[in-house]
Amino acid sequence: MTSRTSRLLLFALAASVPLLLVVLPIGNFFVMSFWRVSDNVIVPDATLANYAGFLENDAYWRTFLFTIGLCAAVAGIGIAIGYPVSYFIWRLRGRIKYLLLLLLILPLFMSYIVKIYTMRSILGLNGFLNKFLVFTGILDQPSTLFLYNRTAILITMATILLPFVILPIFLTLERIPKSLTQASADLGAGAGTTFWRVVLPLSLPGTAAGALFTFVLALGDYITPQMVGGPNGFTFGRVIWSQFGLAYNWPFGAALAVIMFLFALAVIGLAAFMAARQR
Amino acid sequence: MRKSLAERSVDWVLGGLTVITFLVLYTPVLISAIFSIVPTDRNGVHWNEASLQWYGQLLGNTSVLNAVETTLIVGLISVAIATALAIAIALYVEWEGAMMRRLLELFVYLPFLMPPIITGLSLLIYFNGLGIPRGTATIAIGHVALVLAILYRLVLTRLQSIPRSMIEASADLGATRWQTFARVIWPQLRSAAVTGAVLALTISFDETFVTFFLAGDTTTLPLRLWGMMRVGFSPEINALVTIVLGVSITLAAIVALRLNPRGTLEEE
Amino acid sequence: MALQLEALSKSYGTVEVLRPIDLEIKDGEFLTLLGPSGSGKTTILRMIGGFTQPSGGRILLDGQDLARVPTNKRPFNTVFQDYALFPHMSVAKNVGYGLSIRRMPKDEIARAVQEALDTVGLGSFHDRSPAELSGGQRQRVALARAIVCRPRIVLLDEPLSALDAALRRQMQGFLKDLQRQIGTTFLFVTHDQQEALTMSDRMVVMNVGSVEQIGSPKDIYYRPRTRFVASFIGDNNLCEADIDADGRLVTPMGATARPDGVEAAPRRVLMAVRPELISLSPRDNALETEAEVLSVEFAGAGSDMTLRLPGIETPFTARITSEPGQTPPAPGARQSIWIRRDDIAVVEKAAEQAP
Repeated sequence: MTSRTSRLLLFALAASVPLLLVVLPIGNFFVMSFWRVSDNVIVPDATLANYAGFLENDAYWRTFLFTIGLCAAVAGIGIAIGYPVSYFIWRLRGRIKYLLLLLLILPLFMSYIVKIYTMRSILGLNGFLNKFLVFTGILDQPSTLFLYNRTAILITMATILLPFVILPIFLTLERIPKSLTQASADLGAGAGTTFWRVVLPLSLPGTAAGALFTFVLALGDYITPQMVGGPNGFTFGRVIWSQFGLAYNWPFGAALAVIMFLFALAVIGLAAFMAARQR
Repeated sequence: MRKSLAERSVDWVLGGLTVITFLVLYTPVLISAIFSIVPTDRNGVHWNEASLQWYGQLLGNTSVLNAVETTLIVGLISVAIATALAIAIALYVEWEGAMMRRLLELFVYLPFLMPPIITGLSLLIYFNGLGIPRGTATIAIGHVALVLAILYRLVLTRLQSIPRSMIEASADLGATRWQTFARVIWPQLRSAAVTGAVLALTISFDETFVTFFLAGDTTTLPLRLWGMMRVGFSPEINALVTIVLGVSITLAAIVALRLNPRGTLEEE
Repeated sequence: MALQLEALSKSYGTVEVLRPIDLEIKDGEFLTLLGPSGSGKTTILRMIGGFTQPSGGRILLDGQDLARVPTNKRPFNTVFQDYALFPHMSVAKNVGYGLSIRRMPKDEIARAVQEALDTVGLGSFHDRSPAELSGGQRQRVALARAIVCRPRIVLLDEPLSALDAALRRQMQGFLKDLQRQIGTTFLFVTHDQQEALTMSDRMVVMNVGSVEQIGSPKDIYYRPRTRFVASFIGDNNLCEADIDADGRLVTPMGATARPDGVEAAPRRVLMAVRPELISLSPRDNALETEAEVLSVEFAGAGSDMTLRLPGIETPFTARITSEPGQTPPAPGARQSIWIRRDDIAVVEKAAEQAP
């Protein structure tokens, strides 16, 4: 029918753009991670110095581990709030169910920068949160604990990324056939038993997959730490970012990015595995 | 059906948590909308001085207007290119002679699955190596790589819902491959492509993480906002923020209406 | 001789889904390919339509090889199993699709579409969308769309399988009438033997990728040539028999002349007798034997009687018409039965050896 040559040609054509825009650039920064900077000039080389630099300097190590912990906390908070909320909305009947869902995921489409900005104005010394807490008498005077530190990064990321956790959890719940919960009720289980023994086990893989994707999103964020984290709020993403800005050490930045890329790839692989298990 | 006290209290707790979640998600939006109209300073909020003056001032700010223009150009060009590409790749993947489908799909999805900083700096290094100066074109290319995944997914899902026999029937009735595409496939693909394009436009409109690395001296609206925010708060920013949110929400609402949440979500 | 298949075959890798087949499809006939799933019948249809590439052999139309002719240039039109109506087009646009591809003037298309819709009894359905039609109506639109271009052959791929029983019966008659009326060759694929027997001029019975028998419905029904045909189509009683050195058929019930068309070489064969051809009253030119009644089941129009025949291991079934008030023989009773010599079909034993 179609000869092998023309099949190869068509593949090359279809794959050309992803190849040019995705594969080559990623390959390119892999290569650059083995280069070095000398007198503010990037020099092609084949050195492992950049990776060694990461391994030997425990400041980078600590930032890396802190970032993983931070992202895990963001994903954890996402599940802790997102799961009950998804479950509540999932059990509603009629139009209100989808309207609420829509409203919950609408913030996904709002400018990330704007959300960070408004979070900053809320968390600040004169911000809404402090005014609210002073007004209600919980605090005597406005606190500086909410902004320009690591807590601020956590609060901001968790708030902004929450819809990213809610949507996959809801979709996972939607995939559970109604007949299963009805069968469980028919066999005498109350709502609680049905939840613990039917709904939760069936939705766990999808929930985990959703949380892992959120984890990856948080991993690469370099703007939130820069905007609300203050001078000590360094995350791995921010460290990489600074290598391409002030520090001007692209090869080292590339090496750090390779580490993040491989780590993210592993997490996504795990998420894909989780998602596949639900089918 | 009667619910037990325990079940009802669980419902109340869940409902309360849902309400709080909504408050947390929407308070920021409402606050910036209010403060773009009502001036505020250390002495508090001056409710009686509400005005739209900051919106007016925004119209005179050429650097902001330039940023808006760049953002729109980048969005329209990148979405148009990405839509055409997504259709071409989806058609290829569905073709019986396609090779290495999974690998090709991985390439398409990768920029969307990876932290955007990876896509951004990999393209930065790439363009730098090729000697391509950063500007509107490089931003647009970055956005193509980023939104391609969404467009591809939507187009492919719709394409797969067209039965093979429909395409065979068209050939059977005398149509060439091109005629079949134009008269049978495209009319059924169109709405998915348009929905995907609007969704992609929403993403492109707000994109910051990738754009930052590819912009050079060019400025898009999110970059401009970022720059303004680093300097400090101002009602002018609030006004701009409100406009940006308004545009995003409008685009998202169009997507939501087109996707028909009920049908789509239940099918997935 | 309109269409000729010469050693046409298809394999996927090492899996042979169709062994080389030779077949002639005559102009104006209603030819059915009948077989269970996996018999290769749909593969033949798809290769003729140009949807599947043959692995070997040729398809000749009026002596011309179609190998290099793509689907869209072949003068055949298909009615698909799922109808494959274009959901974004009205009924009229669907039917007129092939004509508009051929760049026929609009008014001529409108006339041809009207005529085709009238033919299938949907004259007033132009502007409906396919989604608004019932299964039977969609079926008719698909049919109209296939005949409007006046193809040499209409290919029908199990088009009735999605319909319920009553509608299917009705559509069978309709399809047969339509085919007679327009005189176009119909190549019909089905797994329903009743459907094939009712509608066909000729039928091809297939099993696991090869042809078992080709013939008229009556031929196939009364003169099955293989064990598969004998048991796949209708009910049959089978037992072993021999062709002796004199070329006579020796059955456990006695010897008789060899039926027409059966080879004379001495060998072991199978004989097949239809349940409704076993008689409880004397017939002319018949073999007679005394059987033991094992059971009798009332089956509405008749009764099915299970009989043990002397010298035959497997019990036979006889379908006898029951009259009200008449008491059938009780189980355990001895009962004489008669089988007309002409009603015995001979099935080759060797045929069942085929893998």
